[in-house]
Amino acid sequence: MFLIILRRLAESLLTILAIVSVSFFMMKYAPGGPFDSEKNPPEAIRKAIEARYHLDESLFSQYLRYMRGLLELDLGPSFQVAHLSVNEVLAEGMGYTLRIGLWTMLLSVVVGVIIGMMAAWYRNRLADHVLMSLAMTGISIPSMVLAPVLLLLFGVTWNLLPTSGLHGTASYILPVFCLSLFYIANIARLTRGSMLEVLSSNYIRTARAKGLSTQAILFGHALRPAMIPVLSYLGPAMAGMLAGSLVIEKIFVIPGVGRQFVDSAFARDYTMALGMIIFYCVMVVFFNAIVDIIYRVLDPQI
Amino acid sequence: MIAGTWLSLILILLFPSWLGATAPVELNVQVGEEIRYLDPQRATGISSAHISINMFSGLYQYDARSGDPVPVLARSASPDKDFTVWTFKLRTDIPWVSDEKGKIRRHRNLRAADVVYSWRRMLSPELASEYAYMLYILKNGEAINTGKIKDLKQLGVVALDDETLQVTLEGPVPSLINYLPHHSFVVVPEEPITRHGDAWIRQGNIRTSGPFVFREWKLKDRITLVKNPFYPGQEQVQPELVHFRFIGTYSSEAVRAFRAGEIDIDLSSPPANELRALKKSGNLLLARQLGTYFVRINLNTPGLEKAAVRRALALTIPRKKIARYVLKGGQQPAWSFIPDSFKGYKPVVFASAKVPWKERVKEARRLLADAGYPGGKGLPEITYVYNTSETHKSIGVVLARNWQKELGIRVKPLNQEWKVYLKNQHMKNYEMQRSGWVADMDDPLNFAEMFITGGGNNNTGFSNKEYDRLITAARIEGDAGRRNELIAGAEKILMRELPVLPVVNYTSINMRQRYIKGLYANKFDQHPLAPVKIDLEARRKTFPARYSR
Repeated sequence: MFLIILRRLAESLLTILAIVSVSFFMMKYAPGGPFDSEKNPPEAIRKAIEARYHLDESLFSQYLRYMRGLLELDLGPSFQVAHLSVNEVLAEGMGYTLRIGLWTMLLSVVVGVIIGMMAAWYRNRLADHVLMSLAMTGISIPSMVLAPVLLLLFGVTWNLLPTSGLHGTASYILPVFCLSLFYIANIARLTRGSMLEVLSSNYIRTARAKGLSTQAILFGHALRPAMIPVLSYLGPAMAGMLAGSLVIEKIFVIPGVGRQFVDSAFARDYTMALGMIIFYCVMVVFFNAIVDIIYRVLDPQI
Repeated sequence: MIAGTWLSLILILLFPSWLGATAPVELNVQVGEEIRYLDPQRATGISSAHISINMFSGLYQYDARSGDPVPVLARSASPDKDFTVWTFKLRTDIPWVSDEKGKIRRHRNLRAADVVYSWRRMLSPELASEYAYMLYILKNGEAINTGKIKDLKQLGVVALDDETLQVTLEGPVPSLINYLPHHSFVVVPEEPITRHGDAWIRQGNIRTSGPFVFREWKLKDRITLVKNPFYPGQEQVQPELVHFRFIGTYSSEAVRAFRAGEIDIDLSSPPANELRALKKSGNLLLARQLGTYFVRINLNTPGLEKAAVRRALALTIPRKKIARYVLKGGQQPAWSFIPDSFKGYKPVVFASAKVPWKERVKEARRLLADAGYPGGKGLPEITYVYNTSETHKSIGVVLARNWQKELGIRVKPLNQEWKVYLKNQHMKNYEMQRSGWVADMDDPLNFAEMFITGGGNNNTGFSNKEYDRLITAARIEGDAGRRNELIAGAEKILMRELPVLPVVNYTSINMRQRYIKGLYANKFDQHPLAPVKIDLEARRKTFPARYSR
């Protein structure tokens, strides 16, 4: 087990290293620099600014400097947020993004699994059709359509929920709901499918023959094996939630890393954009690894 | 509505923290994209200026209503007879303050030596401030900034005593006072800068001197200032907390937050498609700005190297249509490069600018034919580059279709991302580009000197000896009237050669709720917030769900 985890870790590190190196050179080759602006400062000032951030050095020595910093987990200074280092910016924004992501994950799994189980239990009856139609709707409506409509109703017309920022519990409701809808729907469909398969298997028939209650069959016997396909979906889903939060953060004006990422790329804030890339990489790799481990716990055969 | 009432009941039960006690008077101000520097001496964008002018004091400040300079630290200014040596008497009752865990602490008062320290720091090559060139009017300013003079003491500013400042300039500048409200001339605190270096603007280190004190900066979210009780005349100031929010410029999210009552004042421009509705609801504040939207031409482009062709293009820009149907923010057609709102300056319009449209088109066609391109034949297709924005795109399409229709010239609009667009401009790697310029101070030279040979913002390949001579002469001319004549002479050349085609003059566009009083639009788009008053009763009535809990 530990050997497997170690191997995975080494693989992940190599992946991240490759991504960082490629991104570094791609960013530097994008036209324009962090200090280009409409009002051109005199040449001397321009040179002084570049020297301050080592932008006057050769590309390769800039790369070495960056990588040396990375070894000490130092992501360098930010060009865009002049008074902070990228580490500090990440630390501040990460909280928002992760909180939105984790709440979304929790809501999606709990609600999605319950809906899926109900649909499977009432297979081909009215409840099943209604729930699955709702799930299809959830998959089809993109959050960038749903979010503005909800904001208009709850924020502007009724003035009940905040439309911008992340201050207090109330401000989580709409972004988490909008982000999770798609995942609730997908998880519900997945759960229903695998649940149907499990429910038709021999050992469930045995359980019924023993006279066990519905709850005992569903939660005690059927749920665990039915969760395997859902779990394998959760790894990529978590990556999707984090990436999807880019759109949600923009619409709801949430100060998370997603907004920072987009803005830093446009501003040619090299260190910041690279820091964000590393953050997203680590998150995706991390959640995939976690899913792998839970997978093994649920089904030791794998 | 009933659903709304029920929902709010449920939500209040769920989140009782909403039922707050008597809260301080808060003012929410949206300023656009997040600022890069809080340090006023490194600040670049207008959003930084909005925040720093409320936090720091300088010799002068912009008047909230007119935008003209009004004294803050300065009590009097007396120039010598050729406007080269100025003596300022300063007031000494403004203290440095800091916010220490919610308590405002008073430090020593500002004095003339603070101004000397600040201006020296502004010009030091180590700071590498982008706006340092604003102080090149000071004696040895440029030499110090470019490292030719190492000794900062040689800068033309000395403190004769705590309340007397003597400023020596490179040459005569009769309009010096017009420069001084700009944030590059602001006074910064020596002690925290010496102690903490770049980190001086962090929470816990920073000291400020304006009507509001810095409290905190939440990244991508807001900067919060609190009322400074030690600033002279603070009894009159109503807002106790000012939140500068960063939602975005031309942002529909910002308009939504404004409509929901989360924003009281929005100092960035809303998107053009929202302007009509906002105007109708009485939320817009418009003022003519010292800025011009223009088309920049690379004079090395085949066909466009001929002045006649450029004049034909200039004659057939549908300026009124663009102002009314695309921009919609009260912008005025521009017939000259320098806007007409500079004090005492009368701009020079290009020839036949004011004749009726049909005759202008006729003349343009004749000019084009004389240049060897009758009906546009023989002229290669021209690419018109704009930076990503719906408004710039619409203007590009209108221009291209219009030139095709009236002159038979094929123009292809092309979108470029901001940094790519800038790079191409500086490298002169374009044919035609959408451009804009806004003056930093009430001085037409700020526009005119852009096109001297080799100027950092010229980027067109335009070079004219007579033009350079007039600008150089204007720079050292002590007589204001004579100076304006020299600038007008230069503009006449510019409007004959037309390396730039003026389109419209900018307006500053701000939004404010109708319960906000004391906020005015002005030509610099600068807004001291101390005079702002909130009609609290009206605010409660407008947004009962937000303010009546």
